[in-house]
Amino acid sequence: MKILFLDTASFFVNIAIIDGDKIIHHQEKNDHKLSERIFFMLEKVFADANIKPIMIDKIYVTNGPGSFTGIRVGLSIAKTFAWQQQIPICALSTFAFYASGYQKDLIISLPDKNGWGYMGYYGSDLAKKAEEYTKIEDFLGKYPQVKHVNLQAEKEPSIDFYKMQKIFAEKEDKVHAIAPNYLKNLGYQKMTGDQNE
Amino acid sequence: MNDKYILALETSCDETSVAIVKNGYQEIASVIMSQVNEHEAYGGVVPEIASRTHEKNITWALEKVLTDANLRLKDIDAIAVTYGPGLIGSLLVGLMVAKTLAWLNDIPLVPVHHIAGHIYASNLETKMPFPLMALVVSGGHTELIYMKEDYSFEKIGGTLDDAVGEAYDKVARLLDLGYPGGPIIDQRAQKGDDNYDLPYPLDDDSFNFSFSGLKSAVTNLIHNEKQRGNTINKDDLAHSFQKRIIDVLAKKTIKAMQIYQVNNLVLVGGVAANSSLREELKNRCQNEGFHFIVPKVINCTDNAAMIAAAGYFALQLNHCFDEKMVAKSVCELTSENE
Repeated sequence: MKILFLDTASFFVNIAIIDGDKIIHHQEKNDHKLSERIFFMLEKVFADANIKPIMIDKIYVTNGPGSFTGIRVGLSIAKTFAWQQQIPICALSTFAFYASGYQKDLIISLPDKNGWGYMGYYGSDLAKKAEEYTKIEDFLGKYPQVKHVNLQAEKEPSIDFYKMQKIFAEKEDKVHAIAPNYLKNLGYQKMTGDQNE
Repeated sequence: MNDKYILALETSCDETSVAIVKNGYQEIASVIMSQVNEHEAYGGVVPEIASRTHEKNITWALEKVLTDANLRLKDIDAIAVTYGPGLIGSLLVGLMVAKTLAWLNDIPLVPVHHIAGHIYASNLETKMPFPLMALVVSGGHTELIYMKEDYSFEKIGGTLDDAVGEAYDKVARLLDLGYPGGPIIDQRAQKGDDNYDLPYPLDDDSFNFSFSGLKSAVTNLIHNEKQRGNTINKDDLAHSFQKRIIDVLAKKTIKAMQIYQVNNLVLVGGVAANSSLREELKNRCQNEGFHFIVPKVINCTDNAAMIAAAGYFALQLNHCFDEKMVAKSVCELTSENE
């Protein structure tokens, strides 16, 4: 089984290939040049793993929350890849992805602006307990006993790809139906009669 | 020469489109998923909603086009994609999908300028004669492009502020007529007469256009009439507004053709669907003895077949992506960067 992991949704870019007991993982900070850099990174990881894209058997991709553009870059690539190769695809929460590196329940925050953030409370089994876009302080206040990790402040978050592979081995999504989890409402105002006056 | 099949993606604004074109002119299959319903409630295109809808639709559109064409990806010789100008988040979806396809199938990826695509929509119906003048009019563009030969572009004029389609949308909103504004105003204008005194926008010797002043004039006129307690005759106002726009477009286009000594006019872009504009340019070309080309409405509005048609020539000229190439929200159409 050769498995590709792709995560471009938040503060880091993670690309990993599991090939049996061998794992090639590339991680870097996500900057504004994601769309420029992503294919260089993909090619590097495939070269390091010494396999060809057509040999991949399954793809895991994070579908948010995170940066709207980051989510779409990852999903566009992963969906197209899975669709063309006709291989299974599995969408993972950004929170579950980063929670894999810890052995206990925890809250992961992805800070946005003005003290607000994407907040996720996940179990050590990578199952969701709660998530919302809210004030970071408010969310933390609800679960005072739970360990909190601010992803933005992390230098090199560790990720357990084997754990995800094991937990989500059976999970497959329909490629055309994969929906991003933006978590945040758009806040656009629809036109009303009053605004036309 | 072997047949060349190009698969193209166009996601620069609010249509998710994928098409396959053979040898640059023969449309094999085309899928256009309009997002008008998603944006209608907002009176215009909301960029984030456009990006989200492209993301949702794109693999489905790919599958549909290949099924309709009865082809497989291994039959495709190159991927063409709109790299700009347009909404950056929307462009990015098409670009990432296109890059993935080119990478997995090890075939060339051809970047196409959106305006070049609009012009090459003509080739889907008849081979364009050169030299020619292209009037590109849409929700995002109003440009006069001089083409000496295939894939040579010289922009000789353009809008200094709003695009013509944008002006239509904004005035439709002022008149509470709905969205998109172009077809609605065109329809209402047919029923009205030129009874409102509106200015002719940027009526000078240049080949540039300006429509924001005209829009302000409409705003003021509506306001003043309301103050006086008069009701607006929407049909008449639509007529007067449209007449100013079409007059200035037609006048400057014909003058540009005379000065550049070209006999062929190509009218393309979403606003080329406007029946009054088509009629006016057809008549003026007839009077001057010019050859007038306007594609079918379906080829005038945003679609991927036009990107494939342009991409065919870009490929011949070896304009291919390097991996670093990015989407651009703003970019001029010139022969150099094409």
